This record gives sequence, structure tokens and C-alpha cells, in this order.
Amino acid sequence: MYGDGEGRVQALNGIDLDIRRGQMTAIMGPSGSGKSTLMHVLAGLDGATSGSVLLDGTEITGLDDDARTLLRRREIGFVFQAFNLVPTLDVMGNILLPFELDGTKPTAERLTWIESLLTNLGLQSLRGRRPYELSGGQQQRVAIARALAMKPTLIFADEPTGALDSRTGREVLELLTQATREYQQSVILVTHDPVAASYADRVVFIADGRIAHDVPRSDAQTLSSLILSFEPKA
Amino acid sequence: MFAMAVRELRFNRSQHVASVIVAFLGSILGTMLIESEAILNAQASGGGFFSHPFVPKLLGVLGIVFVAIATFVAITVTSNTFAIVLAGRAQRTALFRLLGATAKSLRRAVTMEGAIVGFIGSAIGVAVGVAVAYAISASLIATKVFLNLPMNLVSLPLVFPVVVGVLSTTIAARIGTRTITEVSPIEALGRIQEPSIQTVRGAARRRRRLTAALVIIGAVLLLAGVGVGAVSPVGLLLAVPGGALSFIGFISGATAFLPPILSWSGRLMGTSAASKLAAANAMRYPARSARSTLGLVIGITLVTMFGVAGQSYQTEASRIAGGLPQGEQNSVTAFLTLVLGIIGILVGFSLLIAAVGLVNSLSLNVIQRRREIGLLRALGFSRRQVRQMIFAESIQLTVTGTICGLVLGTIYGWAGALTAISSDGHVGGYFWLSFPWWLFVGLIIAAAILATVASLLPTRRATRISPVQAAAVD
Repeated sequence: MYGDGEGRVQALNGIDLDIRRGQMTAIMGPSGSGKSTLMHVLAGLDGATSGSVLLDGTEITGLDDDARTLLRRREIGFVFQAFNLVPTLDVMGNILLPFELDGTKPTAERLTWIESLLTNLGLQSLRGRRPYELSGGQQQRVAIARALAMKPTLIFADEPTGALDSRTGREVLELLTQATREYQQSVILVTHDPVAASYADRVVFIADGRIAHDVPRSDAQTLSSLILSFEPKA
Repeated sequence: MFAMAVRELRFNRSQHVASVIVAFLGSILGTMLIESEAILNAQASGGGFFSHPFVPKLLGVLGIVFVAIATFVAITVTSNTFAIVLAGRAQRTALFRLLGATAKSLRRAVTMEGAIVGFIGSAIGVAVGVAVAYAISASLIATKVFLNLPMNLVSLPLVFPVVVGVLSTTIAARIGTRTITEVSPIEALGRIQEPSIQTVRGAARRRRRLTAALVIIGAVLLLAGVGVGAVSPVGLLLAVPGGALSFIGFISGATAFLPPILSWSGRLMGTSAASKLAAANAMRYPARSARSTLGLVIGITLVTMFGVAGQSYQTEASRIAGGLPQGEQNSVTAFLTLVLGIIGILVGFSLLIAAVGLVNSLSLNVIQRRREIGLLRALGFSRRQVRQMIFAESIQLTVTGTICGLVLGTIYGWAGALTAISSDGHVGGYFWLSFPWWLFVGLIIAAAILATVASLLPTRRATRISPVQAAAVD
């Protein structure tokens, strides 16, 4: 339940969802279906009036702001539609930002990991560049590297291809898929684009705050017809 | 966090120019007072021109009072500036919060920016102040007004202006960072919205007790000060903090009641699309419109306060002088001119600080509105209409700010004059206030010109970019 008082809106209702480790799970649904609210609640950004969210066995609903902040810093990574890099920092600075906020120095082992990320994501030659000197696709690769750098339990990708042309968008989706395959990274992809969702291992449809369908990997065609089935019959 | 503060300062230097200038002005005022005392003491000990003990004493007392006022004004102006700067950075703040920065640590980083800004401004202020003192005393020695005595112009007390400058700017930055706690990390996921009038009113309602307490305690102290003033000018020790507290109360409640007044005065501007939009904007962006109006209220209150106090003092003094023999009349008039002259210079600094704050808040606001202006342009608003809208907003701001400032300033000024001189045997009790009309006419014209120029200049730049580009601005 979300909101209270007169403007009370029940954005989510009776959702029972298990996100599997090392998989990419897509959450799809029309605008206003509750998929954004679901992501906010899952990421500990928003509370729920009832129910609970467990992250790796730890209850995250009801945590105070400081605890949720710490959780976001260490256990959760974010990739968004607007690339959301810090303009005052260069590529390397952006990738190391979560460590800076944590007040910790990355260990030698972690630095090796970050170096390998830079190589895999094709960012080696761009490490000193500022965000405004990068293309949209390059900025999104930096955002992915930043999310992966902390080795979080879960990465949320909110319409990560929304602001990219389709070829660059495909590259970004392939990188995210690769992260699940090679690093056993769990990813939640929130999107309304059936092509993007077709890269996921599993697709969950939300409509009117409920889970309407829960299907394994499907092609964009199948996903499209599932979406269309939500439209009221003419 | 230190690294974060330095990065912000290097990345966008222009955002803190106004705060540096404010710290600079405050510290140059302090430095000049210290230096003038050093010079006068040296001259007095040499048996020179200023052997009269009264002048340094007067400077000492007035100096402390006015440094306190200038510091209060500087803190108010700078905290307002920081709030505006942070409103422009809200998107980035939300991103930092989302990536796991606590509001506490972000506030600390911005407070540190304040400390650095305050240090830079006040250190330059001391350096310039010392240089000016050297130049003035050298020229006075050259023209034989001063004796050629060795004067030590670089002394330990010069540390004070820097310490006060750093402290006041740090405190101001800290107050300005309150808005950071209101930024939700969720806002990083979408386009950040200006808080609505409901949100702003809600926040103001939660602060209602604090606001009421500040206003009531302030008013009681002010009245108590005036009461004590009937017997002794010591009442100022109650009246001044009382006035300051009630003004803080006014600021705390401003976001709730200023926007409706702005909107109301905006409706007087006619019914063209541009004027209607300008009137509606006050309610649509209440936090922003209240912040920029506050900049003007501070300035008008200051001038009115000193104007009313000075004029009332002058009227009373002339009345008393009228009953004196001709010879004494002349010496009283000379003394009066000296006191009013010194007050004028000291007030000038506070006024300058307030003006810097006003110009800065207005232009920053327009710069932060590029998206909104781009949207209006895309919807078919001409450049001319955008300028008319901004102009109408400047006028409604001037009207509202002037009304609030005149009322507050008259109360403070009259209370101050009553407290300071009613206990004097010649004055013989309380008296009606005198209003310096010519000053207010000048003030209103100056405020209107300042408000219009400060907002229209950046508007030219904002309308020059294409609507599509403006809509894409973060």
C-alpha cells in the first residue's frame, strides 16, 4: 500500500516476487502499472504500508534512512535512462564515487577488478574524460561500470536504453547480460520496451499493481503480444 | 568530503562569487574599524590632531554594533544564496543520495565549501583593508593633517575579521543546506520538481511553532528593550537581539505567506498572458519566489530601519537644539553631522551586502529557470513575452519586498531610536517617529531598477538559446 489520507492510492497489491541470483529479471508494465513503485520499494527507496522486502535474507523494509543509505551504497547499483554521471568528476572519478562516499579506499583486488571492467567495457582510453566529452552510449557504459564496481547484490537498470539509439541500446543490454553470465551479477531491468526485455532471463508483467504474468525468456514478438493483451478490448 | 567541497568550488566558481563578495565586504568593514582605531590611537599618543578622546570611543561603540549588524545581514544573505545554489544542484544532490551519500555528509561537504569561501573572501578583505588604510594615512600625512608618526597597521587583531568571516559564512552555509535533507534519492530517477505550494506550506506548518516562538519572543524582547530604554540605553542589549530573532521568525515563515502576497501584487500588473503567468509563477514556484523576495526584504528593512532611526534622532536633536543658545546650537549640529556621517558609512556596508545578495539571487534564479523558459518558448511564447513575464515578476517582487521591508524597518527603526535616546534628559521620554520620505522614494526606485536589471540581463541569455536546447538543459 502506498500513500495515505484522501489521495490514497494503492500502487502495489499482493505482490509476491522472488528475484533469482545471477539472473536478469525484467519488470514490464504499462505506465501507471506500479512498476516504478515496485522498483522503489525493492531498492529500499520507498516504504510499504504492509509486507516486506528481503535482500539476501536481510529485511530492508522499515530500515531507517541511514541504514537504507548504507544499503544503497554497498549492496545496490543503479543504472538509469538519464546517464546520471557527476559532471564534476572524470570517468575514473565517477566509477570510484561509491568508494568515496563510503570513505574507503578500494582494495588492490578491487582495483584489479575495476581495471578489468574498464577493459571489458571499452573505457580504458576514456578514463580521464569528463561526462560531457562522452557520447550517450559511452556515458551509459561508465554508469554500468560504476554500478558493477562495488559488486552489489543487485543492480537496478531503469529504462537504461531509453535515451539511446537502438544499436547503442543493444550494446548496453548485451553488457548487462554479460554481467549476469560472467560475474553472476543479479540485475533487475525495468522497461516498457519489449526488445530490451527480450534480453532478460525472465520477464514479470505488472498491471494495476499486481503480477499479471511471469514468463521465462521470450522474444520481443511474444512479449509485445502479452503487452497488447492488457489493452482494454475495443 | 573535503575533496567534494574543493571539486564543487573548482567546477563552478561563479556560484560562490556573491558569497565571497559578502565575506569580503564584512571583513573590509572590520579591518577598517581596527585600522582607524590603530591610526587614531597612534595620533592621539603623539599628541596630534585627534587628542580628543571622544572620537575613538564613539568609533569603538558604533563599530561593534555595526559589525554585529553587518554580520547578521551577511549570514542572512549568504544562507539565502546557499539555498538558491543548492536548489540549482538538487538533481546532483539526489544522485549522490541515491548512490549512498547520507544527507549529513552532503551537508558537511557544502558547509566546508562555505568555510573555504568565507576564508577567501575575508582574507582578501583584510589585505585590501590594510592597503587602503596605508594609502589613506600616507595621503593624510602628506597633506599634513596627520603627524608623521610610526603606525603599526599590521597587528594581531586583524585575525578577527578573518575568524568572523569564516565563522559567519560557515554558519550561513550550514543554514542554507537545510534544503538538502528535503531531497529524496528517488528524485535522481526522474526530473526533479520544484516543491509545490502544498509541500512548502506543509513544511512551513511543521515549523509553525518555531516561527511563532521566534516572532513572539523577538517581539517581547524588542518591547522590553524599549521599556528599559525609558531609563537607560542599555535596553538596546534586549532590543537588538529581539529584533534579530523576530526577523529570523519572519524568514522562517516567509515561504508560506510571501507567495500569496506576490501573486496578489502580480494581479495588479494587468491581464496579458505574460503578466498572468508571472502572477501564477509566484504560487507555482513558492520556495523560489519567497527566496528571491527575502533578498529584497533584507535590504529594504535595513535602509528603512536606519532611515527612520536616523531621522527620528535628527528631529529630536533639532527640537532640543532649538531651545539652546546660538553657539551651542552650532556645536550640536556639527556633532550630529559627524554621528550621522559615521552611521551612514557603516550602514552603507550592510546595504552593499544586501544588494549583492539581491542581485545574485535574482540572476541565479533566472539561470536556473532555463528549462521552464525553453518550455514557454516551445509553446509559442515570444522572447518579448518571456521578458515581459520576468519584468512583471521583478515588479511584483519589488512591491511585495518593499511593503514588507517598510513595515518591518519602520518598527525596528522606531524601536531602536526610542530605546537609544528616550532616557536622555533633553529628549524626556518617548516620541513619535519621523519618516524620511525622500529616502523611501529613492529606495523604491533603486529597488525596482536593481530587481529589473538583475533579472532581465540573465533572461537575455536564457532566451537566446533555442527552445529545444533549453528543454534538454539539466
